[in-house]
Amino acid sequence: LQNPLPQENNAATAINAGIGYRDIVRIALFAALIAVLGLVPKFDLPLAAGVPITVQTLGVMLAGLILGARNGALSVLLFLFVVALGAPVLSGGRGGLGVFFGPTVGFLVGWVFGALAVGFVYQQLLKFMPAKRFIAALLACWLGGILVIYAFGIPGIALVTGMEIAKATMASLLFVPGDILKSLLAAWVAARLPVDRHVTFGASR
Amino acid sequence: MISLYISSTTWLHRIPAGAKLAGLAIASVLVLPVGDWALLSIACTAAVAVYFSLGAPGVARLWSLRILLPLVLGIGLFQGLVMSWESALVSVFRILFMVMLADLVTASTPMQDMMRVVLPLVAPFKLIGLKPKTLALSVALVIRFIPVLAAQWAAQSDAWRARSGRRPGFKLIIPFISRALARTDQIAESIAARK
Repeated sequence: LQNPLPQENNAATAINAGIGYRDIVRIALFAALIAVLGLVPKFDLPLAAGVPITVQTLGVMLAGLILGARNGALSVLLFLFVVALGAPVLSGGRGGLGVFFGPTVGFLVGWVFGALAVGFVYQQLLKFMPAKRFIAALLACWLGGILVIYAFGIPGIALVTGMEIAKATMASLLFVPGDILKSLLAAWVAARLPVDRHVTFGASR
Repeated sequence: MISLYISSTTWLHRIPAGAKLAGLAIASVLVLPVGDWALLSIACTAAVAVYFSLGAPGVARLWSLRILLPLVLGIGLFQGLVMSWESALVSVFRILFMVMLADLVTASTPMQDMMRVVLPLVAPFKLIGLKPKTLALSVALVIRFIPVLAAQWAAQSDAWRARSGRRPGFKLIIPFISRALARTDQIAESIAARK
């Protein structure tokens, strides 16, 4: 694991060289953040009346943007591991092994690859437009946070229910407006967060 | 930290965690090719019977699964309208059966036992740098962070209200994440110092 502690912490760096407790703690933090977002009561989207949307995808997008591709994906993976162990940390107090056999399993798997893609695309885009963090983050969220997650989620629905892909896609499209709102919020947070708190930038320090 | 585990000692609790997880894995493979809704409805009835055999906490647990119903019935309705009602029944019963089966494992297995079964399974990942000890530490950190973060959010929104007299909006997310990241650096230093 790379990303040692910053130079000013000489004592800690010496002990910690190459272990990366900083990575581990940040990965755990974002896993917990996704869980805490599940505690936010579900709100109904006025656009698609009655369709519950979860803010947990916001945490997935932020993990990719702020922690970068590898650590972002690891934090989602860790979150899912804690879910599998039986912690009721998915929105609505769901959790346990049951969710991995439900129709939304594809989306859960998609979160891992979504965070990976968000982090990767964001870092690549920033090379071309370092001053336009909001635009770069928004594009990364659309590609990774929406497209990639649905690319896993829709086949997941098809697999669990036996529905055809086209029909599963139709049913899933209801959730896209909510995801666009979340991507705007995630990009705004990433663009406004002080640069020294931003691991995507901090890594090059 | 609340878990979905029901703390009591029923017959299901006495089956070793490894056996329950293996059974679940086998059942998940066996149930996929079944296309007969009558057979799947019998399987569901059997799963419901298992919940009832666990006594009052089991029944309460079954009742708590009702949050799944809107989603599952929605899928069934959609599938019935665009495909056939028979395939809708098959998928609704199949989902309900597998979810109940997996939930029964979670309900009757303490988190520590689940960890004990899982940790040896991740041993091969040592090759790519994931040590079982690291995984255990990470899980403990997540479980500890959840109430800490919730308290931090509450404290920061109180401070916001005290200063502005208004309810904090989503703008609070930025100072919230900023402070949380600052704290993780301190925690990382503490862990490094202790080792």
